[in-house]
Amino acid sequence: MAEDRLSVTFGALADPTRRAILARLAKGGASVSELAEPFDMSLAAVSKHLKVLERAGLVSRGREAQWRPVALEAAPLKEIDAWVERYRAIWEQRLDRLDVYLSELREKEKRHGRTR
Amino acid sequence: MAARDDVAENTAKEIVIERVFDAPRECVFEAFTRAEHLQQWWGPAMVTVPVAEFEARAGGRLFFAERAPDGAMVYIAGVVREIEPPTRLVIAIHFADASKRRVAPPSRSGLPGNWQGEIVATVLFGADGQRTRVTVRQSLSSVTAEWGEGARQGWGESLEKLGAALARMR
Repeated sequence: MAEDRLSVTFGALADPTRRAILARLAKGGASVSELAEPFDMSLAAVSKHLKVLERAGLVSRGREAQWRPVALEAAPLKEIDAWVERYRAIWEQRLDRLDVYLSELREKEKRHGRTR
Repeated sequence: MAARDDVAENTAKEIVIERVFDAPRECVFEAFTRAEHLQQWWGPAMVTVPVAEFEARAGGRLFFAERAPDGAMVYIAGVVREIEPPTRLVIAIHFADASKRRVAPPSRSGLPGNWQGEIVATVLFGADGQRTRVTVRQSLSSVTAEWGEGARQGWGESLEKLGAALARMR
Protein backbone atom coordinates (compact mmCIF):
# COMPACT_ATOMS: atom_id res chain seq x y z
CA MET A 1 0.00 0.00 0.00
CA ALA A 2 1.13 3.52 -0.74
CA GLU A 3 0.69 4.58 2.89
CA ASP A 4 2.84 1.79 4.23
CA ARG A 5 5.48 2.62 1.71
CA LEU A 6 5.48 6.22 2.88
CA SER A 7 6.13 5.01 6.43
CA VAL A 8 9.00 2.87 5.24
CA THR A 9 10.45 5.85 3.37
CA PHE A 10 10.11 8.08 6.44
CA GLY A 11 11.78 5.43 8.56
CA ALA A 12 14.67 5.05 6.18
CA LEU A 13 15.18 8.81 6.05
CA ALA A 14 15.09 9.18 9.82
CA ASP A 15 18.77 8.38 10.21
CA PRO A 16 21.31 11.17 9.54
CA THR A 17 23.89 8.78 8.11
CA ARG A 18 21.38 7.43 5.64
CA ARG A 19 20.42 10.96 4.62
CA ALA A 20 24.08 11.78 4.10
CA ILE A 21 24.49 8.65 1.97
CA LEU A 22 21.55 9.74 -0.19
CA ALA A 23 22.96 13.26 -0.52
CA ARG A 24 26.24 11.74 -1.70
CA LEU A 25 24.41 9.49 -4.18
CA ALA A 26 22.51 12.47 -5.57
CA LYS A 27 25.85 13.49 -7.10
CA GLY A 28 26.23 10.09 -8.77
CA GLY A 29 26.57 6.36 -8.16
CA ALA A 30 29.25 5.08 -5.80
CA SER A 31 30.70 1.89 -4.39
CA VAL A 32 30.16 0.88 -0.78
CA SER A 33 33.75 1.75 0.12
CA GLU A 34 33.40 5.17 -1.51
CA LEU A 35 30.26 5.74 0.55
CA ALA A 36 31.98 4.62 3.74
CA GLU A 37 34.91 7.00 3.24
CA PRO A 38 33.46 10.24 4.68
CA PHE A 39 32.08 8.39 7.71
CA ASP A 40 34.02 6.88 10.52
CA MET A 41 32.29 3.58 9.88
CA SER A 42 32.99 0.02 8.92
CA LEU A 43 31.90 -1.29 5.53
CA ALA A 44 29.54 -3.61 7.38
CA ALA A 45 27.81 -0.68 9.10
CA VAL A 46 27.43 1.15 5.79
CA SER A 47 26.07 -2.01 4.18
CA LYS A 48 23.48 -2.23 6.92
CA HIS A 49 22.31 1.32 6.19
CA LEU A 50 22.24 0.53 2.48
CA LYS A 51 19.98 -2.47 3.12
CA VAL A 52 17.48 -0.19 4.88
CA LEU A 53 17.63 2.29 2.00
CA GLU A 54 17.27 -0.51 -0.53
CA ARG A 55 14.21 -1.92 1.26
CA ALA A 56 12.66 1.54 1.09
CA GLY A 57 13.37 1.65 -2.65
CA LEU A 58 15.59 4.69 -2.18
CA VAL A 59 18.69 3.08 -3.65
CA SER A 60 19.42 0.25 -6.04
CA ARG A 61 22.50 -1.95 -6.29
CA GLY A 62 24.17 -2.83 -9.56
CA ARG A 63 24.26 -6.55 -10.34
CA GLU A 64 26.99 -6.70 -12.94
CA ALA A 65 30.20 -5.43 -11.38
CA GLN A 66 32.07 -6.97 -8.47
CA TRP A 67 31.76 -3.72 -6.51
CA ARG A 68 28.00 -3.45 -7.12
CA PRO A 69 27.63 0.33 -7.49
CA VAL A 70 24.88 1.98 -5.47
CA ALA A 71 22.52 4.40 -7.20
CA LEU A 72 19.86 6.78 -5.90
CA GLU A 73 16.24 5.98 -6.73
CA ALA A 74 14.24 9.20 -6.72
CA ALA A 75 10.65 7.90 -6.90
CA PRO A 76 9.97 7.49 -3.14
CA LEU A 77 11.40 10.97 -2.49
CA LYS A 78 9.03 12.40 -5.05
CA GLU A 79 6.17 10.71 -3.20
CA ILE A 80 7.19 12.51 -0.01
CA ASP A 81 7.48 15.74 -1.94
CA ALA A 82 3.93 15.31 -3.18
CA TRP A 83 2.75 14.54 0.34
CA VAL A 84 4.36 17.65 1.79
CA GLU A 85 3.01 19.77 -1.06
CA ARG A 86 -0.52 18.58 -0.38
CA TYR A 87 -0.33 19.89 3.17
CA ARG A 88 1.17 23.13 2.00
CA ALA A 89 -1.71 23.54 -0.45
CA ILE A 90 -4.27 23.05 2.32
CA TRP A 91 -2.72 25.87 4.36
CA GLU A 92 -2.51 28.11 1.29
CA GLN A 93 -6.21 27.52 0.68
CA ARG A 94 -7.10 28.20 4.30
CA LEU A 95 -5.20 31.49 4.27
CA ASP A 96 -6.83 32.48 0.97
CA ARG A 97 -10.19 31.99 2.63
CA LEU A 98 -9.09 33.87 5.72
CA ASP A 99 -8.06 36.79 3.51
CA VAL A 100 -11.49 36.89 1.90
CA TYR A 101 -13.18 36.58 5.27
CA LEU A 102 -11.17 39.43 6.81
CA SER A 103 -12.11 41.66 3.87
CA GLU A 104 -15.76 40.81 4.42
CA LEU A 105 -15.45 41.66 8.10
CA ARG A 106 -13.87 45.01 7.25
CA GLU A 107 -16.63 45.81 4.77
CA LYS A 108 -19.23 45.00 7.38
CA GLU A 109 -17.54 47.27 9.90
CA LYS A 110 -17.44 50.10 7.37
CA ARG A 111 -21.12 49.75 6.62
CA HIS A 112 -21.91 49.86 10.30
CA GLY A 113 -19.77 52.95 10.64
CA ARG A 114 -17.53 51.40 13.25
CA THR A 115 -13.90 52.31 13.66
CA ARG A 116 -11.21 50.36 15.42
CA MET B 1 10.09 28.53 27.06
CA ALA B 2 9.11 30.04 23.79
CA ALA B 3 12.65 30.88 22.74
CA ARG B 4 13.89 27.36 23.24
CA ASP B 5 10.85 25.97 21.45
CA ASP B 6 11.69 28.07 18.45
CA VAL B 7 15.15 26.62 18.21
CA ALA B 8 13.82 23.09 18.54
CA GLU B 9 11.04 23.72 16.06
CA ASN B 10 13.18 25.32 13.43
CA THR B 11 14.84 22.03 12.70
CA ALA B 12 11.61 20.07 12.92
CA LYS B 13 9.50 22.17 10.59
CA GLU B 14 8.89 21.24 7.04
CA ILE B 15 6.17 23.54 5.77
CA VAL B 16 6.57 27.27 6.29
CA ILE B 17 4.03 29.64 4.82
CA GLU B 18 4.06 33.38 5.25
CA ARG B 19 1.24 35.71 4.34
CA VAL B 20 0.49 39.38 4.96
CA PHE B 21 -3.11 40.29 5.71
CA ASP B 22 -4.53 43.76 5.37
CA ALA B 23 -5.98 43.75 8.87
CA PRO B 24 -4.70 44.60 12.36
CA ARG B 25 -3.02 41.86 14.36
CA GLU B 26 -5.71 41.59 17.06
CA CYS B 27 -8.28 41.08 14.35
CA VAL B 28 -6.32 38.32 12.60
CA PHE B 29 -5.53 36.62 15.89
CA GLU B 30 -9.23 36.60 16.75
CA ALA B 31 -10.06 35.12 13.38
CA PHE B 32 -7.69 32.26 14.22
CA THR B 33 -8.87 31.66 17.77
CA ARG B 34 -12.65 32.08 17.86
CA ALA B 35 -14.96 29.36 16.67
CA GLU B 36 -17.47 31.68 15.00
CA HIS B 37 -14.66 33.11 12.86
CA LEU B 38 -12.91 29.79 12.20
CA GLN B 39 -16.16 28.36 10.95
CA GLN B 40 -16.11 30.94 8.16
CA TRP B 41 -12.70 30.18 6.74
CA TRP B 42 -11.17 26.97 8.10
CA GLY B 43 -10.64 24.05 5.75
CA PRO B 44 -9.39 23.66 2.21
CA ALA B 45 -11.13 25.42 -0.68
CA MET B 46 -14.74 24.30 -1.32
CA VAL B 47 -15.07 22.74 2.12
CA THR B 48 -17.71 24.02 4.53
CA VAL B 49 -17.43 23.76 8.30
CA PRO B 50 -20.81 23.03 9.89
CA VAL B 51 -19.23 22.63 13.33
CA ALA B 52 -16.25 24.51 14.76
CA GLU B 53 -15.21 24.46 18.41
CA PHE B 54 -12.16 26.22 19.79
CA GLU B 55 -11.28 26.69 23.46
CA ALA B 56 -8.83 29.58 23.35
CA ARG B 57 -6.62 28.55 26.27
CA ALA B 58 -3.58 26.34 26.70
CA GLY B 59 -4.85 22.77 26.88
CA GLY B 60 -8.18 23.79 25.34
CA ARG B 61 -9.91 21.45 22.91
CA LEU B 62 -10.62 22.14 19.28
CA PHE B 63 -12.87 20.34 16.85
CA PHE B 64 -13.84 20.89 13.23
CA ALA B 65 -16.38 19.09 11.10
CA GLU B 66 -15.40 19.61 7.46
CA ARG B 67 -17.84 18.85 4.66
CA ALA B 68 -16.40 18.30 1.19
CA PRO B 69 -18.43 19.34 -1.89
CA ASP B 70 -19.40 15.68 -2.44
CA GLY B 71 -20.85 15.57 1.09
CA ALA B 72 -18.02 13.51 2.57
CA MET B 73 -17.24 14.51 6.15
CA VAL B 74 -13.82 14.77 7.73
CA TYR B 75 -13.54 15.49 11.45
CA ILE B 76 -10.49 17.11 12.99
CA ALA B 77 -9.91 17.10 16.73
CA GLY B 78 -7.03 18.40 18.75
CA VAL B 79 -5.70 20.61 21.44
CA VAL B 80 -4.42 24.16 21.81
CA ARG B 81 -0.87 23.65 23.02
CA GLU B 82 0.09 27.29 23.39
CA ILE B 83 -1.74 30.54 23.02
CA GLU B 84 -0.19 33.96 23.58
CA PRO B 85 -2.53 36.67 22.30
CA PRO B 86 -1.97 38.26 19.90
CA THR B 87 1.37 36.84 18.79
CA ARG B 88 1.50 33.07 18.94
CA LEU B 89 -0.68 29.99 18.62
CA VAL B 90 0.30 26.32 18.58
CA ILE B 91 -2.28 23.67 17.79
CA ALA B 92 -1.94 19.90 17.49
CA ILE B 93 -4.60 18.06 15.51
CA HIS B 94 -5.51 14.57 14.35
CA PHE B 95 -8.35 12.89 12.49
CA ALA B 96 -11.48 12.01 14.46
CA ASP B 97 -15.05 10.81 14.07
CA ALA B 98 -18.24 12.81 14.70
CA SER B 99 -17.91 12.03 18.43
CA LYS B 100 -14.37 13.45 18.49
CA ARG B 101 -12.74 10.07 18.98
CA ARG B 102 -9.46 9.52 17.17
CA VAL B 103 -9.72 7.52 13.96
CA ALA B 104 -7.21 6.29 11.41
CA PRO B 105 -6.37 9.00 8.86
CA PRO B 106 -8.56 8.85 5.74
CA SER B 107 -6.65 7.43 2.80
CA ARG B 108 -6.90 10.74 0.97
CA SER B 109 -4.87 12.37 3.74
CA GLY B 110 -1.80 10.51 2.50
CA LEU B 111 -0.90 9.52 6.05
CA PRO B 112 -0.10 5.94 7.06
CA GLY B 113 -3.19 4.03 8.22
CA ASN B 114 -1.55 3.25 11.56
CA TRP B 115 -0.53 6.86 12.18
CA GLN B 116 -0.82 7.84 15.85
CA GLY B 117 0.82 11.25 15.80
CA GLU B 118 -0.33 14.83 15.68
CA ILE B 119 -0.05 17.45 12.99
CA VAL B 120 1.41 20.42 14.84
CA ALA B 121 0.94 23.92 13.47
CA THR B 122 2.62 26.97 14.96
CA VAL B 123 1.13 30.27 13.88
CA LEU B 124 3.00 33.52 14.52
CA PHE B 125 1.32 36.90 14.16
CA GLY B 126 3.58 39.88 13.49
CA ALA B 127 2.26 43.44 13.46
CA ASP B 128 3.24 45.46 10.41
CA GLY B 129 1.43 48.76 10.92
CA GLN B 130 -2.22 48.08 10.22
CA ARG B 131 -1.22 44.86 8.51
CA THR B 132 -0.38 41.47 9.95
CA ARG B 133 2.29 39.06 8.87
CA VAL B 134 1.19 35.49 9.57
CA THR B 135 3.72 32.70 9.54
CA VAL B 136 2.42 29.15 9.66
CA ARG B 137 4.89 26.40 10.41
CA GLN B 138 3.49 22.93 10.15
CA SER B 139 5.47 20.21 11.78
CA LEU B 140 5.40 16.77 10.28
CA SER B 141 7.55 15.59 13.14
CA SER B 142 5.08 13.21 14.65
CA VAL B 143 3.99 11.43 11.50
CA THR B 144 5.87 8.40 12.72
CA ALA B 145 8.20 7.99 15.66
CA GLU B 146 11.07 7.51 13.22
CA TRP B 147 10.16 10.65 11.35
CA GLY B 148 10.07 12.59 14.60
CA GLU B 149 13.56 11.49 15.46
CA GLY B 150 14.77 12.39 11.99
CA ALA B 151 13.07 15.76 12.03
CA ARG B 152 14.83 16.74 15.23
CA GLN B 153 18.10 15.91 13.54
CA GLY B 154 17.46 18.34 10.77
CA TRP B 155 15.67 16.13 8.33
CA GLY B 156 13.95 19.10 6.72
CA GLU B 157 17.19 20.72 5.76
CA SER B 158 18.49 17.50 4.29
CA LEU B 159 15.36 17.04 2.24
CA GLU B 160 15.79 20.51 0.83
CA LYS B 161 19.35 19.74 -0.17
CA LEU B 162 18.28 16.46 -1.65
CA GLY B 163 15.49 18.18 -3.53
CA ALA B 164 17.96 20.67 -4.98
CA ALA B 165 20.30 17.86 -5.96
CA LEU B 166 17.45 15.97 -7.60
CA ALA B 167 16.39 19.07 -9.49
CA ARG B 168 19.91 19.35 -10.88
CA MET B 169 19.78 15.70 -11.96
CA ARG B 170 16.62 16.18 -14.01
